[in-house]
Amino acid sequence: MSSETKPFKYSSKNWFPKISAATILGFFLAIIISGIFAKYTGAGISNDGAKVQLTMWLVAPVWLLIISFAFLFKNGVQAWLYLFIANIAAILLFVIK
Amino acid sequence: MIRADIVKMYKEAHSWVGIIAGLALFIAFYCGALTMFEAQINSWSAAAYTLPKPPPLERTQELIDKTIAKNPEAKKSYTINFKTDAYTPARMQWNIPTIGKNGKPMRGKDKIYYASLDDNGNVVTSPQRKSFAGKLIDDLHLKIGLPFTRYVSDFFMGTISVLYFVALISGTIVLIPSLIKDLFVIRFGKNLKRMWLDAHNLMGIFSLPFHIVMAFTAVIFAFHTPIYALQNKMLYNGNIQKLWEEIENDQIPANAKPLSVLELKSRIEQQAQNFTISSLSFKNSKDGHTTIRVTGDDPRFVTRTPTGGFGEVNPYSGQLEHTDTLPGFGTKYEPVVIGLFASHFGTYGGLPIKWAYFILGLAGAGLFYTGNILWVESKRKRARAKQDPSEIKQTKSGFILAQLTIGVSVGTIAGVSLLLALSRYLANYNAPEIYYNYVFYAALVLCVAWAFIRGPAKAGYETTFFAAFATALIPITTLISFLNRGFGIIEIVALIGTFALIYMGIKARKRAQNAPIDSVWHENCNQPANSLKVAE
Repeated sequence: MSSETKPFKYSSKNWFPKISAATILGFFLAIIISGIFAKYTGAGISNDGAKVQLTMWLVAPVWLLIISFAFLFKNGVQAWLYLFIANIAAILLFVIK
Repeated sequence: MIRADIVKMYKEAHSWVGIIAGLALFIAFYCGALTMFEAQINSWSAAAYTLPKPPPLERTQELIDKTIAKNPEAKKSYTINFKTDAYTPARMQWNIPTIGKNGKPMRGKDKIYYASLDDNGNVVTSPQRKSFAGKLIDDLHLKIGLPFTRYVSDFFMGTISVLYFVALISGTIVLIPSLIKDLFVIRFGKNLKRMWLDAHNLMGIFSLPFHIVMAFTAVIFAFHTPIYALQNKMLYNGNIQKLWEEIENDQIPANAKPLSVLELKSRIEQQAQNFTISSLSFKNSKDGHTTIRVTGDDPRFVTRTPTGGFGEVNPYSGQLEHTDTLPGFGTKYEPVVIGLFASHFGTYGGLPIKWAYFILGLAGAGLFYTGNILWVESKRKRARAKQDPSEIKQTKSGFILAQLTIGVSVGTIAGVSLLLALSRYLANYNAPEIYYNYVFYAALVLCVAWAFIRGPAKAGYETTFFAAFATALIPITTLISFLNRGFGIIEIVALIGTFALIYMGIKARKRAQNAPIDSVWHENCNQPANSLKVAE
């Protein structure tokens, strides 16, 4: 009971499970988000070399922001779980149309 | 406001990613700043040639015909330079690939020959004696000059760039609570750590947009191959290659004759009015097919490479093809992509932007240097009241990082200066590329070794004076060298650098004598205790 009354405090100690989740699952998530961009903007996925490039560029900022803010997960389990759910949601959004 | 525990967590993350990536980033930024002027560096360090002056463009066909008649192997692949200078001294050059052990031509290892016409219209040729100074500075920027394969160095620098991005975000989060209060204030005076922190924060926050752009573009440069591969599988069903292809009608008309260089020039200029051609490269395959690659610049557009845009020209019609890499062509996404490249290379807005990038790059190096100094300060063991400060032993980690920071940072500056000063001679005597590496690494290793032998305080000013001397060698070389090219911007920048380094050396020397004795920056500071004792 006492542990529940104690407010949660962030710590840099458990960085590894959080950051590894963001590095791996965050990378896949960034790829799928770039795919959502490619599919639902302009003419969709089409014969356009520049758009293929821009879609690739998009991965970096998304991935890097996920890694940078993954410290804000409370623990590693949460990081892996939420990023996994986000991946599933993004895949659904990508394939829905 | 941001919760204290979150700030603390990001502060620790910031220290760690900073300490891991800081020294590599120092080298990348110092050398990256210099690559803004790679063309000038190349011209500065180029060997002297006894070739006749390049003939006017009108005589190009004569030059090509006569050169190929005398050197038939030139026909396969040659380039006509519209712009010539010390680094590109000839109107025409041709290249012979060097065949590697696997039987394939080695990339970037072509042997290059120059051709010109003398007063009597005879062909004069000369093998290239290439200066690798600019290339080494670029390599140091791209991969710390590490002798690894492309994949290893990409992975290494990509990881460094990811850490760098995390350092930027975490540093900003740490800074936000005190931002409004302390910005614009550099607290000089007794508390040195405060001053370093203020300088670090000021540099960091004002160049933050620049740094964010650098970090994420660098991540793309390192990781684009795996990203494309994964996107191909996950998004494009393995069809990415088809999306790249352009619709072409490349049929060669019967009995068609390739256009002359002058005709090509005028047709290209009709299609792209403000485009200035730098060069046309001709490749003639065995089946008689000619491809022409054009490089050049349009001052109205940003370009995706540091030296301008490139594309292909139809040899029979002069029609520009593959224009999506030329400035001012392409789909609506093209300007965005080119802009992303240009934002890293500083190839927009001309010379003012180049200078701004040069200064921001040097300030970036300063950011990583001050970051390391702050880390050293945070490891400092202070004497308590009534304690004799000379009794205090400093931490091993603080001591080692101080030595590494001095050795690597000052060693990089000294190494690059020495490299530049000697590059004219190296190029003129046609030294192989590896000699340039030897010069740079000799200076770097010497400075690091010196820092470990002499301790951070003494090495702090001694290596700085050495770097000042190495930098002074650049204008001195100009004065005494047989290549009389006169004083230019490189000499002026080197002189400013020399005086700046002398000033810093004098300051560091004063600090070595006057700093508190319980600081690693005092020359009589106690050697570190082993870590067990430090833990108290």
